[in-house]
Amino acid sequence: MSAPAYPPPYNPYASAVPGNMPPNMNMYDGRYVLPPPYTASPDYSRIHPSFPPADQGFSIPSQFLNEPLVANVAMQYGQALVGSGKQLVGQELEKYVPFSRIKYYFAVDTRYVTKKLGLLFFPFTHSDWSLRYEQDGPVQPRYEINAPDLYIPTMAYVTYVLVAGLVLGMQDRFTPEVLSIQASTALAWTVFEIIVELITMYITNIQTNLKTLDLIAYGGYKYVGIIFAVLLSILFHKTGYFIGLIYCSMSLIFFLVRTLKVQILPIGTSPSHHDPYMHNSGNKRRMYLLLFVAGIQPFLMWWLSFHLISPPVPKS
Amino acid sequence: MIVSRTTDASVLQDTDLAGPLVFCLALGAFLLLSGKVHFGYIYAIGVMGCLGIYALLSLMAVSAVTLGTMVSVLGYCLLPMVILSGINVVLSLQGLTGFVLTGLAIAWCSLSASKLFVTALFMDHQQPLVAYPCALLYGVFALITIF
Repeated sequence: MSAPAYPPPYNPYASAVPGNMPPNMNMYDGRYVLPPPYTASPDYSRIHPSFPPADQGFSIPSQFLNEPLVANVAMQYGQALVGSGKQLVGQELEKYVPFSRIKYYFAVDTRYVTKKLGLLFFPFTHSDWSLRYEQDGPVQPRYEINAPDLYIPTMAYVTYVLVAGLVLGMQDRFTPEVLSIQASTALAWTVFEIIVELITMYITNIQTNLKTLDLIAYGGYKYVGIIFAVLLSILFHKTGYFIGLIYCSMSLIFFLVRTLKVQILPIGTSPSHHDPYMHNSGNKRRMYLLLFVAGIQPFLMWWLSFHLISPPVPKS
Repeated sequence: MIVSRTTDASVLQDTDLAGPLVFCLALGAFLLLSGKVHFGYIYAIGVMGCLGIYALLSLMAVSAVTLGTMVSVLGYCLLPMVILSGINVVLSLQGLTGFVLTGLAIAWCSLSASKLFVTALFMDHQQPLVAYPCALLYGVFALITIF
């Protein structure tokens, strides 16, 4: 740049910020002399090559951005804009799909998953079903075996769809469309079950600490039982299937009753709000809700899997 | 791609999508040779599987996950599945040996994929948890290959 020394020499129309060129030569500035008449306005483009011609009006020319200081400021401003834009999008998305809450349900590790699966299959010897709480919510599933998680239900659901495909393939009933049919049917039934539970809780006006995601988690645990029963049916056909189904139903009912008892029925030493108006209200309703949630599981388990078992076909 | 003893996180700095694409096309070509025209299904399952595992890993991992890294890791670990479909051209995989071979291929795919993921995303004690969804994804590919 063959410009004069930076900052430019004294210009009565210069703005107070050093290094910036005044945007409009003809802007009246009361501190200095009156601007010359329009026709006699001097052409300052000779003094500074990047300065616009006098009669450009209020416009930022492209040569403006070539100056290093302006370019830096513009870049930083742009980056700040992008950052805040991303934040805004994230906030908006958070209103519809609460990502931070969902992350809590996936904070699991291998120990938790193996112990939880063991608990789903054999809950009869577990003695302590209470949940520990932190300041604003239950402890992460990683550290608390009784906390619900969404990893097992999601994996169990996907595995269920694949096992269904496998079993149908072994009976020569497989087409790839069958996978999507199974997936959407099971999803529809689960959503239906959760909506019914939510409506029941709303109508009977039961206040619990259960959130929707908790209900989704508890509703998804039945897929583990379904997978077990269907896998048994591969080996032992109908008898194996029914034995597996009955055993898994019993253990799931036991598991759910014990887990939800902590959360639905009020206890004297509950760590949640000690509201004297909430205690012992609708105990019978709460028990019915509990039994309903637990009792509906075997029917759904049977409904979602009975079409997958094969009749005992004599091997040809 | 050989299941090596040590992998470091720098392996994932360069996301390369050409290799995975070649593997997918090779898989489709081998399936074509066995008489199944399933390009659309491979593409659909690949995309859905990648998105699903991306969602799961971004929920489970503490550090940020990029889709490009995900796709390249999953695509590269598709190699054993390509080999399996190549075997399927000459032998039928529906017998007992077929199941064993399929199980081995799925295990190889998912173990290497989960090892790469766990190393790159610094997840502790979660490798089997990551390996399982990868095994499911490759199991779907195996289902298409066999049946």
